[in-house]
Amino acid sequence: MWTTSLSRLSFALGLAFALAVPGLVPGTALAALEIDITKGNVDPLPVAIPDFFGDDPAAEDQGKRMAGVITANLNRSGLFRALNPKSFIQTPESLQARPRFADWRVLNAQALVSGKVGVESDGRLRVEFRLWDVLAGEQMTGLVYFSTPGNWRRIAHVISDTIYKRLTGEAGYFDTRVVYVAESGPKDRRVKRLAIMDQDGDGHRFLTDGSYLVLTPRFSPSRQEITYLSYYRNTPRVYLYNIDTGRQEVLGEFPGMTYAPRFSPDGNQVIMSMARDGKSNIFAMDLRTRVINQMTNGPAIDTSPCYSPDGSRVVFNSDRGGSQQLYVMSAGGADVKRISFGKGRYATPVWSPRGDLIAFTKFRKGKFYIGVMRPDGSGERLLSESFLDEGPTWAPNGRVLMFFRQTPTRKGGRAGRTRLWSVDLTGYNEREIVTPIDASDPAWSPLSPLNR
Amino acid sequence: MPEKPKEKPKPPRKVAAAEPAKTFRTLPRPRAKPKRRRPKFSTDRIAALLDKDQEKKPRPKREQPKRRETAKVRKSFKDISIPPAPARVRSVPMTMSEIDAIRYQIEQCWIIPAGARDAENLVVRIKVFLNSDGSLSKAPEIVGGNGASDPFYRTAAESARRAIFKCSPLKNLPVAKYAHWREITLTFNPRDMLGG
Repeated sequence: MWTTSLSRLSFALGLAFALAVPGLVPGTALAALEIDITKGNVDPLPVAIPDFFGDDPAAEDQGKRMAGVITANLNRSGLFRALNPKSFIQTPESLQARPRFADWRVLNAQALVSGKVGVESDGRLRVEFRLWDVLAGEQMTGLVYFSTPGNWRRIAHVISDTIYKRLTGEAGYFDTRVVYVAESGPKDRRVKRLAIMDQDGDGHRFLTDGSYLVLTPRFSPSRQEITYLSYYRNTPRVYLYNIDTGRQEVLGEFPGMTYAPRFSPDGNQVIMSMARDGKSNIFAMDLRTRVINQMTNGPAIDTSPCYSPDGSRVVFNSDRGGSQQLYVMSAGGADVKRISFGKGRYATPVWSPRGDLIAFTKFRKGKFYIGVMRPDGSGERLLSESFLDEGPTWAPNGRVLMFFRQTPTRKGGRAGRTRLWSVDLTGYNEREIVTPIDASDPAWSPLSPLNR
Repeated sequence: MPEKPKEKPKPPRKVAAAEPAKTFRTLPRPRAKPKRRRPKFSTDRIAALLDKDQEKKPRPKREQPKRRETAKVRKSFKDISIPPAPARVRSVPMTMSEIDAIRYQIEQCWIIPAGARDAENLVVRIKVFLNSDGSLSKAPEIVGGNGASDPFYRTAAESARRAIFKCSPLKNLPVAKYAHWREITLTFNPRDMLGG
């Protein structure tokens, strides 16, 4: 009775395991038990990151700082939970020989990072690190890096990316930077400067002095280059800015108003909208030839164009259907298709670097949302909600979104704070990215070539 | 006649139902069904839960009709009695609750790999070899795994292996049925949790 009813029950539930039927399989020759595991934890993975070992006090200090950067990175991702170093039993020094896995299993660590820092005779910094699977008692990866001592932070980011990639299967995003518009001053005389920082908020600096208004900075997907809009004598101009050299050039002065310039995936085109005679259309400019190609032509307002990562399609928003919605067309401007059909208005679409989703800002019933949908418009999901959330930008691995959030105007008419926030694709792990002053319109850099 | 009701036999249905169970009494009884504690946050359909779209919120629970269905099935089988067959005693199968107990333990130990792009790449079959005390008699073996070169598959396979190590030794296994569980093939499939 047990067997019959159970196997029928399991069938009714649609479970895929087979129960060994007694009587039919006599003696010890039993079929192996099959069990389906379809549930688990989405808890962050517990990782132990002891200080990197250093032979002398200076190296020891360096090793502590590096472990600190890696710890902060992995914690901030929400996918890992760094364990408290105070609980560690094995010392960084004895860890160099080989981990005593039992000592780490006791702490419930599932992964262990061990490292060593030293300075070579030629003055270069030498950083060695290994990632261990504590439960299997195996090394998962190990690498050595050489660089100038001033680069220690970047090495820590690259190591963080390596750990992230090895444990999630996905590329990391720690060795990246964020450019954004830093804002200060009263509402009517707002000073807007271009600023850049590492994704963790370190290394913050201003790129422009604030004498001209800057808007919508966007990273080149292939170079350390930014395109942005600046008002020069009240005329908007599209600029290119090379972060490494500091060189700035005007891409062109366009008749009428230009908005939201953005690079093509190969970095050779800039796509933007231009307004003339009460209508706004989408144009692409070839950066090599400076030839401009008009992509949409109609009486509606088409803005915020963004290429798909393979460069074959463009998503943009338009009010051609009566309200602001998202549309996709081929890179040549053909086959325009509306993809958003939900209630509310949609704006600032951004195609994910991995191509599977489009992020957007949505406005409905007095609230703003950051959301994602598939490029065919299906599977809409809203990830964040507030008084004002706007302008999503993707981390290069397509797993995390950054956007800016404004809090309501406070009593006495003082403007609310405007800050950068990040949220995981799952909608979890919403975090503020600390900036010295108000911040809007973030743009996430691609991963550096070091990391690809 | 006050004695008459005393002698009245119990409803025959009850006896019939108890009959087959009696034969199993000679064997260790299946353990009580372990308490099914809900995971920290219900993870059945993360995508839906995470969706902050208020209009989508009041979603009918999918599970309920299923449960009713199960009850119906169970009821329809209640009356079927199978004649006791002593020859079968030696290989009494694992009960649903015994299997559930194993599944529950592994589920508690499994941290689903994050970053999953295609859930199909994340289905991992892994063979577990156990001693009679529930400890691993040798390292678990990944079954198949033609996607071994795929970093997502590798991540998934490693997460499954970690769950098995973490759960070792498995507890509350019916010793008398060791032959049934000395080798278990687990299929890890996070599809239901990634949903959406």
